[in-house]
Amino acid sequence: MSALALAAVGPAALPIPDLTPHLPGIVFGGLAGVSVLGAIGAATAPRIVHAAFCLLAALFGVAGLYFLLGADFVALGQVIVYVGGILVLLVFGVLLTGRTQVVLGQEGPRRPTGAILAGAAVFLGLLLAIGGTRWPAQPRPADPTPTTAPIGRAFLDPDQFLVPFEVASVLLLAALVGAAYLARRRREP
Amino acid sequence: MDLGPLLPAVLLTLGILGVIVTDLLGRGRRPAVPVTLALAALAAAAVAALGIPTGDGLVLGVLRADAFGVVFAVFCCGVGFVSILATLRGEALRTPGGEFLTLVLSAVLGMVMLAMSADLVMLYLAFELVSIPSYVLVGMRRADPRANEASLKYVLFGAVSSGAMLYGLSWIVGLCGTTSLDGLGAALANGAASEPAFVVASVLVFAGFAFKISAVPFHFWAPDVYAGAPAAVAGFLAVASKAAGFAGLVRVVAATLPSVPALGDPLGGLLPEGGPLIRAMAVGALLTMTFGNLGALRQREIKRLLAWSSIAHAGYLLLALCVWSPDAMAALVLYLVAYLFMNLAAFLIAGIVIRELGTGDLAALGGLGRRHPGLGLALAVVLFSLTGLPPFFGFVAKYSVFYAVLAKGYVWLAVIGLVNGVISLYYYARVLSFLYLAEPAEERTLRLGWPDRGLLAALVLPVVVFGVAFWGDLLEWARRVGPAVFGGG
Amino acid sequence: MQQWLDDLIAGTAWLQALPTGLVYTIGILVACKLILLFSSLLAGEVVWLERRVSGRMQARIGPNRVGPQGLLQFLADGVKLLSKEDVIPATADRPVFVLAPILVYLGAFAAFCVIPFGYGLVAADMNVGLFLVLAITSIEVVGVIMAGWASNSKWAVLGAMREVAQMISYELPLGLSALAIALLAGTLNLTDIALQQEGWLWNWYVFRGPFAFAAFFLFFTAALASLKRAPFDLPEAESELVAGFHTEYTGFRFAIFFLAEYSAMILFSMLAAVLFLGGWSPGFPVDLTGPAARWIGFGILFAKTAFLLFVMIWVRWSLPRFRIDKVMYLCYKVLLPLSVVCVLGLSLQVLLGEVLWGDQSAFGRWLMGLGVHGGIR
Repeated sequence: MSALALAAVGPAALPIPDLTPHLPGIVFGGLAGVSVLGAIGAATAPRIVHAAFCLLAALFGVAGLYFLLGADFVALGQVIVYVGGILVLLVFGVLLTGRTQVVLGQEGPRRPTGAILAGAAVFLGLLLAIGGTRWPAQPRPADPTPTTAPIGRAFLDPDQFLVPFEVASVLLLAALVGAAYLARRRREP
Repeated sequence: MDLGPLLPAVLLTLGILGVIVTDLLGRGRRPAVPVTLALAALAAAAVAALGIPTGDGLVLGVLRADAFGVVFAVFCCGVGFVSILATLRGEALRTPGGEFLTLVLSAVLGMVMLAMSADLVMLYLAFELVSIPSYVLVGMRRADPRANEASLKYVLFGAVSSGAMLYGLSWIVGLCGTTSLDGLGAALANGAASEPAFVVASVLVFAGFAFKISAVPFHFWAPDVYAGAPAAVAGFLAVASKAAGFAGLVRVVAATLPSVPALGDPLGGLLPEGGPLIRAMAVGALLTMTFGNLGALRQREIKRLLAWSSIAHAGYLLLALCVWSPDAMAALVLYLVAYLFMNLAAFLIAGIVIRELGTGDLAALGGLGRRHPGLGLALAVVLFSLTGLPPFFGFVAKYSVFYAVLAKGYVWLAVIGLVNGVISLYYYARVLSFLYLAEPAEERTLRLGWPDRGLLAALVLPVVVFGVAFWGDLLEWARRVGPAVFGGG
Repeated sequence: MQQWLDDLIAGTAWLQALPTGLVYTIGILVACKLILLFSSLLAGEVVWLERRVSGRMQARIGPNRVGPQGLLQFLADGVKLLSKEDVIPATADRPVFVLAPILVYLGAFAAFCVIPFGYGLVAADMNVGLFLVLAITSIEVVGVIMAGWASNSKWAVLGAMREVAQMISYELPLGLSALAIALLAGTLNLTDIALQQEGWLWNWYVFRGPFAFAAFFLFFTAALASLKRAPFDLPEAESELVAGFHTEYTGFRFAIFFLAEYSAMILFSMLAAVLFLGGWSPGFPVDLTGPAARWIGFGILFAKTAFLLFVMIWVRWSLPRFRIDKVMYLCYKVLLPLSVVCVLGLSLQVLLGEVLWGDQSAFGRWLMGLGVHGGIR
């Protein structure tokens, strides 16, 4: 509605800054903000369930970033696997073990100064390394090309990722067997 | 497209599926069938690996079946074989269930792929395929709280370090624009290696491998995990998992090193020259040897002692790795072979003792050497060999490592290594003093079955044989195999 | 969408004066608003449909007072729910409690943006459309578990746990049976999938062989379960759990849950119609891609959707509720193996058909014809 109102006044009367070239940057900022805030929340939330829900924001933000970079399949994979699967299992596990009311940070070190300093040092180091490096950046494609088919072909191409793809399925099978063994009702002597 | 080099992996996968199916069909009533199947799969995979036509070319885009990879494939299959045999009359797992066999086979598959990988995606997946079954294997005895604690500790350490490694790998991929190790080398040679991000990424990647090979400062998990796990599993982790970690590390170094310019040298030639990865490994080697041996001094439980000793041995192996010469690679292979026999024998004895006496306390070993001369002698041989005393296999291995270090002129590295050898003599000898000199705590005889004796003999004999004779031939063999990572073999 | 907006800009003088990015942004917001409006109104009408149909099945009348045949009943209900007091239990976890309905509604509503309502009548014609629907709807689970936990009530927690277990389990057969169609279609783009089914009736994917036929019923059953419709409605089983995860919700927040539930019903019915029942194809060759004809296509798709919705309601009043262990048994030991068989069978069908006949569906049709022939004899 506001656009119509503006149009009635006439574009000349109200100079609207053209933010079109900055649009990807603005969207990136928003998504990055969401994921960073979510991550901070996940690390500092006093209740474990809240931490898990903050993780949701972080994961969503990352999925959005993938979208922004034109990796639509990966983005949706992130949503379906992390949000729909892992996060739910996480919360489910917390609910089932009945530790929902645990307030974190009570058993830990009284003064986390050391941890904060170490974390800040690592962060600073990473920041300097990222800043000081000439990354071989590629321009973002203006028109995102579909990624699903190339990903599928790469997975099934014997000269690319066929073997890792198959090894991944053995990995999942082994994890499944292990999880079933650990979770099964005990019937040991 | 030649699928031959993939045959060991295919056989192992068939073994996994066969074990699962026969275990489910037999409903645990015929445990011998899956066990036989698993052993057969491992043996067949080892034979198939020996038959691989080695070459320097890529197989299926992500694997490299050179002599080095083949040796490690056979090596890991062998360790898996021995570990399953050792569990047949093991500490607490009376008969290994289908899950145990499945997990061991999957871990071995991961190790084979790790040793042959020529692509970062393959490398990381294989790395996880080694890790995840190991986490469960450690916690196999679910009723034991110590096993649960060990498993949890292992998972947490493993998750953090593999996360760090994956982060480092993502930087490297971002920097080089490819996941193939060959492409990586080319991109690094084009200048990507001098970026600060590469230094950080190298350290992160090393952190991941350092966890796997239990190098200081990523070693904290080892004593608790080995103590909580069944002895056979501890032996499996200490030998096969560590060897696979080294093989993967060698692959990464081999791909990146030739194109990485040497760092500036503020220490005046004290550390081996090379890129950030070499430097990290050199420092890691010194720390690992020293802290491993110092940590072992205070141990009173046999599996914890062996854990610290295996940390120290990781230090010697890193020493060979960071020198990075053909001699050193030969020494690395030789050392790992020696380490296989010595350490598996040591963990086997630990398993037998704990099974029979119900405790691994060193004091409980009192007088055991007199009641069981055979077992005592075997333990004595193994411990002397672990120290690196002649005329045992351990001496040959250690000698070749120090030779490689000295050949490149790093005298003081070799000196520190020797000092560490002397320290280790103290705690290994202390075990023997319990064994022969201490008064028995209680008169109990161990029931040693013929499988125990046979397996022990098969592990201890090579330690003596290769220490006394044939070591020249073995050295020749290692000289052919080890340097294959440099290409052309 | 972008094409359409570009055309609009090119044809309208005063839009050219505005920054392109702004026009895009506003265009997207308007499209979202339209879809939101559409799905909400339709959800309201489905509520009416449900009440009327169930009334008929139970030999009573159902709502028929507000508007013609009671069609405007949902408006009256909406006003009633809006004017109710907004209660948040004192022991509830406030921020999570407030956030939960939004997430649930997001999961049900956001996926509409890739559903083609007719040729070209789609907000975002994405290449990964089918995958997006499955991914977005999985967000609903998080909202449900948030609602259940934040309510701090045993009914809510139990309902949420049941629902989550049920939804993430049934996602597997749902995804696999949708994957079976993706195998046939060779694309995840829903418009393309619908276009491939134009022509005669046997071009519909449901009639492309026995496996595709089975996949449709698997998909519909799994969809019923992930919609927590009867006979899979034990997450909110009134007789045991009051109202399941939304026991503590009142007023407008409750209305949002309610709308989300019915939006999701429409979503899955529409998806099933697009994937299996030919989309907007009436069953004989006719071009419905023209600017005016696409609205006829919309009507046809709408009719198919309405039929599937009716079946959902019909099933609800015909079958008794499952027990939770039976629900899990059905998923993991019946539907999952069957859907794996469907995927394997369809890949075989595509492969054999292409090798032998040069047409991926030929083999399947032949099999199906054999079955029909045998059935008639």
